[in-house]
Amino acid sequence: MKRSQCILFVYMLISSLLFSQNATDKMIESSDLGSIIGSYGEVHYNCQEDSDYAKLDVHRMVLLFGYKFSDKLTMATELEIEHVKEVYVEQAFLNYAVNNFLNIKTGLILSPMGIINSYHEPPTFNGVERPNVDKYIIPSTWREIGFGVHGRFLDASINYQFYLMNGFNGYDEDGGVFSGSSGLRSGRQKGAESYMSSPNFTGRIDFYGIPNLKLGVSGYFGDSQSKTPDIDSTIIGVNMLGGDMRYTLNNLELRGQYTMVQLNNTKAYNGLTGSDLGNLMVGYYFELGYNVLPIIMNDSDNKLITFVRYENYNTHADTKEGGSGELLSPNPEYNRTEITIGTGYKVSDGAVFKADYQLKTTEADEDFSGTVNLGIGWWF
Amino acid sequence: MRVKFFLLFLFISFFSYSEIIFSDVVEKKVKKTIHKYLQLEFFDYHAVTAIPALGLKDDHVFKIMKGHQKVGYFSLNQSMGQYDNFDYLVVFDDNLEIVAVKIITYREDYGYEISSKWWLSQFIGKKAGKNMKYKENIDALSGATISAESITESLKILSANMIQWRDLDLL
Repeated sequence: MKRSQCILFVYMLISSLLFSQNATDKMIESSDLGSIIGSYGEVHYNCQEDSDYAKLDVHRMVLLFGYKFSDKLTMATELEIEHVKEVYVEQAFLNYAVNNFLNIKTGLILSPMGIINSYHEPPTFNGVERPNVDKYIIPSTWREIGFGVHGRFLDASINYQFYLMNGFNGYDEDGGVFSGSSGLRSGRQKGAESYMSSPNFTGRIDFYGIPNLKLGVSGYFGDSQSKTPDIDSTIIGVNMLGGDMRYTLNNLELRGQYTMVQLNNTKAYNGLTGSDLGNLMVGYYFELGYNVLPIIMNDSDNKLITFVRYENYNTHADTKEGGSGELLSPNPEYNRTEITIGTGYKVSDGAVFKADYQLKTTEADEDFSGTVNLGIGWWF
Repeated sequence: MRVKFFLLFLFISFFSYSEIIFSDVVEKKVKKTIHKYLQLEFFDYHAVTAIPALGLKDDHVFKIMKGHQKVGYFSLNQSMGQYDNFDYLVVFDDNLEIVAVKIITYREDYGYEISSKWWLSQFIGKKAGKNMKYKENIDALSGATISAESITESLKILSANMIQWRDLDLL
């Protein structure tokens, strides 16, 4: 990373903190201060039909701990234990609220791309497993160290978030990190002794002013990080754009998301690293859910949501770079389609039992392969 | 009962008189809302200091005056979301009917949808805490259950209390 960029990043960080301390706008009387605790987690059973055995896993358990120093200044952390033995810090940041319109957030933060990366507590989504668009196209849970601003225009029903954050590790001592099959996923640095050669920009705008509808657009732009940034072919340019919607009407729930990732310099990168990274990745899903419990029981606060989700994600959506002819031939195995049919029984707003059946195929397969998933999840 | 309230009234007037400071932003929002929903160009407002915070924390009720005439009330109140509280404004007409509800500050990342006008407009016309049951008279709000239920309950208690306070000549 160029020295001037380093200085600029540090300067912006310091000035944002100074600015936050100068703002002493007194609001109505102070609210409860102190500690905030919470948790979410999920335990899964997955059985692939062509496998001889099923898998049982405490997929993740997360402990939320926060502290409210004042009405303006809060600290939030999420400590995550994956598969019982892998410990991660999922979020760790300070947030300073200047007013509704302007908050300053600094630390280990989530990229606001798509729905799931920001809202992934098990009772908030259908299906035992998260959509795979939010695993391979948007590499959830995707977090890096950075800072930025966010706020709300309450009268206009608009929220915004803009952050500068560290990018993906694309090339280190072990060579290239990105792959055609999983895209950028392996490049997440997760704030663990991460390194930066150039900061990346990410942002999102939410609009919820139309009855029962929530719309979001999000983007991410920048270069991948490289330990040898002087060699141009170790760096990939990343341009991500996405849109999502959530609609609820009485017992009906609709949800959809589209995300595209355009990658630059893939030809040079693949040439150097021997990788097969495509230059366009596209993923989308559409989900329809219906709470059938009112049909069975008239007077229940619980929810029994049956749903069907159609997903397609292709990490080789295009392999022709900039019209300069074929870069590599697209691998049909990377064009994946999944149909999930299932149900979730919410015994409380924060506790859910889930069961679903997934049919998965790729452009290279003739048949679907089935998986049965069962799970429990909680959030408080 | 009357005596009890009178003692409480005395106690509160003596010991808990406090000027509520709210920022220019909040004051502007309050004025704009009253102007729009009570069709008032010029008005004053005074804190009703005699009101005990019956079952409500951080409850502040103000009288809206046009000259010497009482034209309505407003309250700046707080209610709890999933992990943090939020501030809201509610305006009553002289008849104690709700004419406007607005979210003034929303702090956490969950449940902010309650600030949308189309959802809050359901409270307009409600009075005395009647027909204000969440999911029954007030539509559920997907993704914001905790905050939506919380503000509904808070408004229900406040609007019921307003009637009681008026009957006790506290307003």
